[in-house]
Amino acid sequence: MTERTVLLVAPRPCMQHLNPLLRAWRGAGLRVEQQAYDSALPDIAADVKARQDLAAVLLVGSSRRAPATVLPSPFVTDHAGKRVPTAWLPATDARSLRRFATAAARVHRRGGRQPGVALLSQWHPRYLHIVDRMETLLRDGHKVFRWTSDVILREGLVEAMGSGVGLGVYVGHGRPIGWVGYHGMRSRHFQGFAGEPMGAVLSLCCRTASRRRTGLSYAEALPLQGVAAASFGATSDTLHTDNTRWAVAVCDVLKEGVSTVGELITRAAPSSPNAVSPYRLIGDPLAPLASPAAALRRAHAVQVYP
Amino acid sequence: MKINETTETVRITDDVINQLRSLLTQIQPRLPQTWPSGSLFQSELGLDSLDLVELVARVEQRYGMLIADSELPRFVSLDAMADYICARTQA
Repeated sequence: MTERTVLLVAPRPCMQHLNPLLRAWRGAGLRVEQQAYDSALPDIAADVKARQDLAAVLLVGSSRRAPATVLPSPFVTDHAGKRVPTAWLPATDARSLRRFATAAARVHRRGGRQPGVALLSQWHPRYLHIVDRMETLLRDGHKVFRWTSDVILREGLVEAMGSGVGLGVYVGHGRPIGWVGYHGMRSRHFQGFAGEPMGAVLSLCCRTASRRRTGLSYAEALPLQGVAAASFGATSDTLHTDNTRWAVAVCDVLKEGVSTVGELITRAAPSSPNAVSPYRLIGDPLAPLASPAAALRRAHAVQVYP
Repeated sequence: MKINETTETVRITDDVINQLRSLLTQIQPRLPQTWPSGSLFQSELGLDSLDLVELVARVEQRYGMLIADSELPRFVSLDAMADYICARTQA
């Protein structure tokens, strides 16, 4: 079996802060290739297209750069035609980078094989209906936690997300500053987050990775605050029909079996380029989606209001 | 020759209708075992827009085609959808 290679591209001074994640990747049997740069952001998409040996890429760069412009999509097709998950991480400050790397490393190390999915949504019939359908699709074989905004308050959800479940999927309206559901979920609600990080949080909605009128987008803030090892959000408006395609395909891929967020995104991506191009992957592209037993116990104990 | 072609076209359309019926039953298990392929999705079978979008997503997966959202209103029945798929796959 060939060794899988993950490429980390980061400004030279940032590399040291990401060491916990590098060690975790190596511990997971990955070969890590580091590419430090000093000035201009390298054209990673072009590099990936010319190669055929990469399992994933993480591009770290100045937080002045927006997710919409640093990468073309959540994955790049390589020379052999394989989709390579390609993630972005804004280098805001050393403390945030270390917090991200520590949380992502923790997700790698904690193990667990049980798939667990938290379904999140705005309190609106259209989105609750999608959650109903996802719950039905995932019922066999997955631990599904329904934390939609009709059954849990914002403060409860922050605590629930700290249970450390492998995957969370939000459907509803989105803004660059956060989710419209839960009376407005913002990154500031996770300040001082001390819970167990989730594997990944997917926001199947508009603009949570957009920088419009915000310093840092919500989708970028989640990994930097240690809430999740990876997040997935759109840089522009999205169509409800496209997000439904994503939701259905995510359930299908989860049922077939999947271990990392990068694998989930590359396999679940709808065939329409318009459905894929608004989205970006933020944080660890190889964040594991398995939930440890302790996380599932904590998630079961979350109080919801029927 | 023309009769053979017509028979083949009918057979392909029937196959597609059967596949669509199977997909739709997976999406909405409360549907009866069988129903006329001309039955209207919304008014006669009680399907909603989410069911239809999921059906379109599964058709895209199965037949490897892209279906624009603007095409959705024309998918009012199995017949209409099968005609569309056959026309696209034979084009």
